[in-house]
Amino acid sequence: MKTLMRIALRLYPTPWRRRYGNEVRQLIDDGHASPFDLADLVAHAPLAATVRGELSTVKSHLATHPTRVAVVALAIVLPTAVLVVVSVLKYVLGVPGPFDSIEPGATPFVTHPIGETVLILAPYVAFGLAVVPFTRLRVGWTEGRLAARAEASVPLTSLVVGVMSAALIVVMAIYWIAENL
Amino acid sequence: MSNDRRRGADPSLLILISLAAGPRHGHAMLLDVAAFAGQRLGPGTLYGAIERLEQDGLIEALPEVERRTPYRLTSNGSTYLAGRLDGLQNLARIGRSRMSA
Repeated sequence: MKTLMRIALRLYPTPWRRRYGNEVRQLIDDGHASPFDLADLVAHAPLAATVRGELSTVKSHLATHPTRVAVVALAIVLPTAVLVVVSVLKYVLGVPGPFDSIEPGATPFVTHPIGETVLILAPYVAFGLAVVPFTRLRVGWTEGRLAARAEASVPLTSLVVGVMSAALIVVMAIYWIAENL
Repeated sequence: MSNDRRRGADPSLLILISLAAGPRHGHAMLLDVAAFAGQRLGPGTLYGAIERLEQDGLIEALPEVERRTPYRLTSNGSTYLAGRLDGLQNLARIGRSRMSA
């Protein structure tokens, strides 16, 4: 833990470390080297504050255009949704028509490692775009315990895309478990 | 709302109160704050607050003793702390009187 904390100190700018680095290192040697202390040191680094600020700006920007963001998220997730639906129709419900009609065109993309990765990640990206800008997650230490609190106020269009993406994630997880376990 | 949030103590104020009893280094400040306020501060919080207080001229570093740098309140810091505590006392008095009304 002490080593991790010394590494975490590098997140602070050089002038700051010149001024306070030795004092923080002494504090670490004095026994302030718990996971709480590490999290506190990382969370207060100016770099962490900058990253948090940038993410917050992006999140606010996305939240001000919910319909556009939902449409983009839908476009991202649509190919995966189509593939999952036609696969379920063929292999679960015994309706092969839609799957067989798109299979020749889809096979080169689906079997390519990059194409496969894009299709698998698409629901996660779509879910993140559609839902995350409208959620607020607060995580912190309260009296030695990790406390988390989530709030969400998601517009209907984003909610539809979010639920659809989450459903795809679940279906793909079930498929993966059935195939591999 | 957690007890921590209810206490809502500002780390800078806790540091100033700790230094009001005399010069202390970082480790001693953390132990003192934990003892009198029941609040655990991390190193990032502590030195973030120390940096701001130094920049505002409310505390100053003393020469290093055994690899530890003690800090003490400046005269501006004492005046500022007295004002903050008066303000808090006033708020507490108003709050209590309204609760008992």
